[in-house]
Amino acid sequence: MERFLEGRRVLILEDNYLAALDVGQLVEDLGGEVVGPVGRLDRARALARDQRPDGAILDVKLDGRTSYPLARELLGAGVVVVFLTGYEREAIDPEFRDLPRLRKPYEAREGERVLRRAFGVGE
Amino acid sequence: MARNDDHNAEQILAAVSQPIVVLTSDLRVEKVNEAFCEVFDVAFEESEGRRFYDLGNGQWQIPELRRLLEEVVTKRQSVLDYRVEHRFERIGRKVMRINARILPPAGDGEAQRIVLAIDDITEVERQAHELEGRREFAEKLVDSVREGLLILDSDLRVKQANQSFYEQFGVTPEQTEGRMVWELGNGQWDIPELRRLLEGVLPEDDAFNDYEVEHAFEGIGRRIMLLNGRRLDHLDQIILAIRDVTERREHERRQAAFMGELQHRVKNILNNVGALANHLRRRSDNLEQFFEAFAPRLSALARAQQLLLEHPDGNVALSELVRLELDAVGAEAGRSYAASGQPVSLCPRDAQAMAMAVHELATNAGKYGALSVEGGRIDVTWQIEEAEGPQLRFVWRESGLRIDAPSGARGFGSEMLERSVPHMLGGRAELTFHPDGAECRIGFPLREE
Repeated sequence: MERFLEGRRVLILEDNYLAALDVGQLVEDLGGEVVGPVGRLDRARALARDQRPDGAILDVKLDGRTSYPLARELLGAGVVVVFLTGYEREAIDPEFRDLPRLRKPYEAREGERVLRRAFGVGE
Repeated sequence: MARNDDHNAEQILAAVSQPIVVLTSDLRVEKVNEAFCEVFDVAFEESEGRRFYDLGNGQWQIPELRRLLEEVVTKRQSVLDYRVEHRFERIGRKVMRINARILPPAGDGEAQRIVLAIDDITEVERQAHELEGRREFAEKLVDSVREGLLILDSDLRVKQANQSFYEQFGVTPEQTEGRMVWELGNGQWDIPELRRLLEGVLPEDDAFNDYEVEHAFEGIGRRIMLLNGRRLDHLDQIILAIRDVTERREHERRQAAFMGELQHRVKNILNNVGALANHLRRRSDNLEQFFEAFAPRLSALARAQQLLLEHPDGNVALSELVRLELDAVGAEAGRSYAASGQPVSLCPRDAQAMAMAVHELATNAGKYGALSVEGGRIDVTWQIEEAEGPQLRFVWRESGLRIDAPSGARGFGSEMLERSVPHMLGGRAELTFHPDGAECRIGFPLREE
């Protein structure tokens, strides 16, 4: 895999530990540094403010709430936001429907493609 | 003159479509007209001069007719609208309405004659009967139908509603009949689109189907109704059939939501399996090693899902979860383990996380711990403590080992245990190694979800 995430720090918010490990591994394989992973919205927000990551991979729904407010905040600060979700496109709020999306379960190649596009790296 | 009159009379009799018989006072046929011959299937030649009762093989030997004629003759009075029913041999059943009038004598000294004008009302009676039958059918049909029906006249005023309508809307005939459809209830049918359908579409198309109305109806609350409209041309009326689909829609919505959740859960599980495989692959030198680590954990995932399926409304008992994982590694309740604590219900997410944690503990116990030696024991206890909300305190204590130098962390399992508890449960897991066995303390806040 081409390490196109070299030098980038990516926050991971995913409450399922195995899933978090997995997507973290993907980021590292692509050369990136993982911030987290965390399984709670409040921790993610705190980490984002402290660590100022370049990108964030966010689970859409956790703790009974959505990560939309956090996504909005991060996008406002110029952070690349990728959603990680098992839901269909239609289930995502219209405001965020065009954001890059990693659909669970995903293959490594597909994950790489989505992150490539999200971080604006050519094919 | 008389001959002219007679001639005119002949012409008229011939033209008239009603069967007519002129009888002498002793009930012999003086004259019959064409219509009579046609309707009763007798020939002219056979009729005139014969006794009326003898006509056509005695088919006029009808008791009621005899009574009629005797009455007329004896009372010398006309009898009108006399109904006679008879099954004729050749022409079948006929119902007749007979006017029997006295004709003044032709001349002096002559006897009076009787003219019978016979109306074949067989068909008319049959149609009236059928009409009555249809009317009864329609009435009972309308009333038996489970959907609410409104019959409107062409001005859209309620002519009639069926029982189902009154029950459906909790209203009475007094509140309904005679009212404009727009006035019913709290003006609930006064909707522009419905007006358009009733006033515009129906006149053109004579029917519309499945027009949906969602509305807060008076008395019965928010309902979703489907309307079918039909125009009745002959009666100049409109039928509105109203079906309440509120429950059905709600059911469909819940089904869809459930299916969505199920799909979501399946995707998550598949993702977990993939993540597990990926992670273990990196830590395994060969296929055997991989499989040895992968297979039992896959089973644990399956067991957790099975538990969740058995409790579709969510909550799983901690005791059940613990026992399930210990049984899976071959431990025996009462012999190699004891598990007890106050009843604790875990929400699905926490149940899955705890199942993984307990699985790791049980696996380690089986490989290196209390379950790997004769006489080894595991004591599992738990309780709820109040400290900024209910906190679960879970203790897993192995004993019966003799460890000279505790080896410390043991690879993927322990690492998963110590990391996943904080990550997924928002709590802590501490592994301590005593000389006689491992101890693990897990604490996390209990939540509803």
